[in-house]
Amino acid sequence: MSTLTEELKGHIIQELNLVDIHPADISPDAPLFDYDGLGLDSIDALELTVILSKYYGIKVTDPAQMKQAFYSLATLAAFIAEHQAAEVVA
Amino acid sequence: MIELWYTAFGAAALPPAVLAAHVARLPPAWQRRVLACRRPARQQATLFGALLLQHVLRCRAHPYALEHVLRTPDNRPYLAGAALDFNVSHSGRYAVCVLSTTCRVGVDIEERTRTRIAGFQPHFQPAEWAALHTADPQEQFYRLWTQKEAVAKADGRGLNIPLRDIRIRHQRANLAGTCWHVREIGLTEADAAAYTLHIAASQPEPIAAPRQVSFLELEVRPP
Repeated sequence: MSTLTEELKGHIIQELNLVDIHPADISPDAPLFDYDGLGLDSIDALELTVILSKYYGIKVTDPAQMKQAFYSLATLAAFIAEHQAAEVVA
Repeated sequence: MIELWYTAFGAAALPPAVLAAHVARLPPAWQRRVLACRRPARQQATLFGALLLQHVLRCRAHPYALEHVLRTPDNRPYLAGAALDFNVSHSGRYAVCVLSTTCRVGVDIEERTRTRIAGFQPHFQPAEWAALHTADPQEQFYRLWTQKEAVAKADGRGLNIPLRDIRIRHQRANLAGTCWHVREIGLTEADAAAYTLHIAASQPEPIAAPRQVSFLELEVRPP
C-alpha cells in the first residue's frame, strides 16, 4: 500500500473525527460513502475537500465533480498523485 | 398535508443479539444493507431508519411495504406506482421520515457536532457565506446546510448537485429554475440546541405536528 494512501487514512480519521475507525479497518478499495464502506455522510464530503486544500494544496469548489475521485481511498490517492505530478511538470 | 415521523434511539449500542433480532425483521435486501455497515453508529442509525420507514409504510402506504421500495440510479428510495413520496434521514440519536401524498418531499436532520466551518466557504455563494456570519455561524451553517440537503434529496440527485446551485432565500430554494419550499421543524425542545431539521417540498403544503414513534410501536426492546 502506498505511503500516500496511509497518510490519507490518517488525515481522514483525524479531520473527520472517525473515533470508531482504526486505520487497518479502511480498505483502499472500499467505497468511502456507501453504507458498506466507510459510510461517510454529505458534510464529510466537504471535509474531504478541506483535507485536499489543507494538506495537498488542491482547491475543489464542487464535490459533485469529485464523484470518481471520492469513490475510495485508492481513487482519492490517485487523484492527488496525478495532481502533484501535473504540478511538477508545470 | 406533509407528515413527519421520527424515532429517538439513544446513543447506547444495541446488544448484538438484539440487533440481529431486529435486522431479521427486515426484508433480505435491507438486512444486507444494515449488516454491511462497518461503523457501529452508522449501522444502528441505518437499522432504525429502516424500522421507522417500515412502520410508516405499514401505517400509511398499505399494501406497499418496505420490500417494495426501489432506488433510482442516484440512490433515492421510492415506491413505483404508489401515490406518495417519502424521504428518510438520520443523525445522532434520531431517525426521521417525511411523507406526502400530494407533493415531492425531502428531509435532512443534522446533529450540530462540527465547530470548524471555515474550510467550507468555497461551497457557498458569497451572499450566503456573509449571511452565515451575521449570527452564530455554526447554527447558521447547519440551517443553510440542512435546507440545501433537503432540497437535494427531494430533487433526488443528492450530492450530484453542486451545493452552490441551490440558492436559499426566505424559506424558498431555487434550483435551476425550480422552486422548493423549505421549512425548519423542531422535534423536541430539549434537542432544539443540538439538532437542525429541514423539510423541502415541491408545494407549499402544511406540515402536521411531528409524530414520535416509540420503541413499543417499532417493537424494539430498549437497550
